[in-house]
Amino acid sequence: MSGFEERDAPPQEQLNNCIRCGMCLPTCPTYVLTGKERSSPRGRISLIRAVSEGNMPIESSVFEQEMGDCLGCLGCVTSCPAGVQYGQLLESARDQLWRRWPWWKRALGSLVLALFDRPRLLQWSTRALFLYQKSGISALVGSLLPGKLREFHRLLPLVQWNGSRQLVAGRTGGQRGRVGVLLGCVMDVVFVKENVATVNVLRRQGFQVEAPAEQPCCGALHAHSGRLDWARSQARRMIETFEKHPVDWIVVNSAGCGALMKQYGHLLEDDPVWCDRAASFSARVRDVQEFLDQIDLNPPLPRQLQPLTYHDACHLAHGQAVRQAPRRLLKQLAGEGYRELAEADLCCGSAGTYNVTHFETASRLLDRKLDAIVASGALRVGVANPGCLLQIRYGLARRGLKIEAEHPVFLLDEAWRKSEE
Amino acid sequence: MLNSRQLQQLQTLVGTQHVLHERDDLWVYGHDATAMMRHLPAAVVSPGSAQEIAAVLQFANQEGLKLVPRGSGTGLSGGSVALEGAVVLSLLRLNKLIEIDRANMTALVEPGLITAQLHQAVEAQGLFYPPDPGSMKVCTLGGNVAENAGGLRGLKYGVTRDYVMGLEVVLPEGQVMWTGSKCPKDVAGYDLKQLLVGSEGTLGIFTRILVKLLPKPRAKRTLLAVFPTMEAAASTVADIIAAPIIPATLEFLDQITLRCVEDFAHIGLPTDAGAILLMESDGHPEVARSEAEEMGELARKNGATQVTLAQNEEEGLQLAAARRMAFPALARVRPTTVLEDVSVPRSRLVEMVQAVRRIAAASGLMVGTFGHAGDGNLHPTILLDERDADEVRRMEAAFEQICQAALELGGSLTGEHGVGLLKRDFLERFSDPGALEMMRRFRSVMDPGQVLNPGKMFQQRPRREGQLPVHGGQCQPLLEGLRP
Repeated sequence: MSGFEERDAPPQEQLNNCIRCGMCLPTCPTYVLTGKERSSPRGRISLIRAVSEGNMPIESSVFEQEMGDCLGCLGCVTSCPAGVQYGQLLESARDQLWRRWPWWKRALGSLVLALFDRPRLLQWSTRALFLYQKSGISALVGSLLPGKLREFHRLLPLVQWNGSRQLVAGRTGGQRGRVGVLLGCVMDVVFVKENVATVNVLRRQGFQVEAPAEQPCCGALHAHSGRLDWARSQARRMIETFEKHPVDWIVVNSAGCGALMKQYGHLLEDDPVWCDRAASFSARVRDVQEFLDQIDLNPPLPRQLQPLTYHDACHLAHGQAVRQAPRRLLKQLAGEGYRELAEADLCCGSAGTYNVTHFETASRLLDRKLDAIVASGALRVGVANPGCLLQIRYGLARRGLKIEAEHPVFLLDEAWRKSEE
Repeated sequence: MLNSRQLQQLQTLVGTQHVLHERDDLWVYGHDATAMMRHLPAAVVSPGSAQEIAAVLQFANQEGLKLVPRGSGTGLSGGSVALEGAVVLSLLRLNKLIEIDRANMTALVEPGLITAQLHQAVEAQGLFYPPDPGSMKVCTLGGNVAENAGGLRGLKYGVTRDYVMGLEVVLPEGQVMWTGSKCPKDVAGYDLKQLLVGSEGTLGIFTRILVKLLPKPRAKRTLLAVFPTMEAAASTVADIIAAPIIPATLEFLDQITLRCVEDFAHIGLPTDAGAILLMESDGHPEVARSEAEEMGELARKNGATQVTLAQNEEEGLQLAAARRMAFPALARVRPTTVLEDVSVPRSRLVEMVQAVRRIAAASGLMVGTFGHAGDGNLHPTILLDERDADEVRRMEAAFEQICQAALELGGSLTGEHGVGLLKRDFLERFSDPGALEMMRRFRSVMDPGQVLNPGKMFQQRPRREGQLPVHGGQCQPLLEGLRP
């Protein structure tokens, strides 16, 4: 008797495909840190399978803890010889657990996720944060807060009054093809210059850029937290938006969002009305670096010799198998100055809200990442995901390092801008 | 099951946080990388020193507990599956690289060190540790020594056995012993370390391992040849050895395997080819080059339709990709992957591949074969779905027939994965009775309390009949049909 409800149960074929070879073990951050089999992907799959086959109750604290402790970095997916889609297993297991939470816990989780789902609310919250930071209260609070709370406070990014929606939304001309741009939820309000750079770069390459203001959040945060139905409704809204604004490609500058949007086809495969539309949508999704790497750059990318390195965002390297495209672009940009980062594709500990829920583990991973960045000798590090940008920038500031973490597309845009001046 | 006094004592010996005993915690230690085997251990104990291991073993002897050593759990013969309610002894906390001695070209390591980490450390100093099992990024040196692991470089460089110079061992009754030295010439007394290499956790627990190192070869050349038939590939192998050339690597993929690889990776392999050979020569740049060219010539002479010589390291890696993907590509085809490991004398390779083909056809199952053409070690890989009882029955029959075919050709049941649980009954059936008796006697002298790795390699007398006792009613039946 399976411990899972039938709806959105962890897919049986993925469980069966695990051949337990253990190749995932050394790529898993939580296994590397703890050395415990249960904290490895092979162990977690074994636990999911035990619940699925009725050999372990879903109430098991070991099961619940491991499903929560996983970063969801998908490093194991890259190393898996049998091609197990671990992400699907994790998300559906989390969905099953979520359904069993007490109402107040579900309400609390929903409250946080609802914020990302409502652009206007998110915008006004950000403006409140802006005022809080501008007024100087933030600095005062920051100096008064004790221990861990102070660290959480420092994780808050510096924001501006306007989000990217106010600056780049709508359509701009161009002859080369129609490109839709995802503005995102966090990207929209916190990473404004990165969104602006994305649009600039695409326009400079001669594309007609379409960034509909009414586009929703992609649902990645919801899916990764195991709220699959919620993610599905976001996906439907997203697909609808870009049906109203037909484009050839949908370009995404956030690795986590891109990874899910490429999976819409899978997410909605059981929905007869939506499955084909979702598949067609997913087929057109490109990470911005992947996209730039695939086209002929005209104008070409100027060379600016500089000590530069690149951190693999998990959902880009493992989630989308995009590894070489950003490196090719950054090597073109920095020439001899480009250097490879040790353990470049090991998670930085951000993993959505993991750095808040599992602060200690996240800090150990962050320290490892920072050590590698320092050792590389680079003065700038390319980071193509909002969570990683927040985490690595926070870490660099905490150590007082004069190294900048920037989205690669921002670095490219900056180089073009400088060469035009 | 342990009683609470035994559990407390184990916690006192190694520290409370290093003993797992809750059922849900133990679940994930119920298996290694062997298909279709799962038994719950009674506990998992992770000692931090040889002294702690000795204390645990002494306690086990007093109490009649059973112990199963375990590293990363990547074994392919069920060697670290805990039978008879045994306690798993995890060696992962002992994971230090103690010393690299450049003057004597040796390294001293603890058993939990990952093999690839040793590779990295010695290669950074221009040195070389050749054994390279497929799981080297995960597996531990303790496990490598216990299973006498091989790898792709076996033909030229030998296997783990050829590199072990000394061992610190905790014997089954709890005494700590050192055997061997840093001297290449050392004939003082019986060579106990050679008996311990490949003992599969039945004769002792290694706590320090002294290995021999070589200078890192200065150059490596890689080439890939495509053949219309397996026979053409095999006669190329024979010609290369007769030349005489001993290549660093000489690996083959049969037609089914290369089709799966092409299907999965799209690297441009001709799917109508009968076999491909991956060849590598290493050493002095001149020697590596001329050997590689000569091998290419021999391949063409034997009818190779395509011979590609890599011009640099990157191209070499691309060529080797086909071989590296053999297992992953096969593993994706069906849910369950049973990896065989028989060995035959090099000259009988073609006959063995033909036998596998015949057996596969009769079983109606898909079997891809790849492996080490140079040393005659093959990995026929049987693909099935373990939930299909009929397929499982046919797999078991094919499995047994493959083993028998290898023995008829003068080969061995296992080349590098070990006997463990998977081939225990075959070893008992097919070994020379005198040799088997000697092994039994030896084991009972070393481990009179029958503490270490019960039920593995062969049964100690008195022999049990029928189902093995299982723990908590949670085990899946073992490969039923394998039992005589």
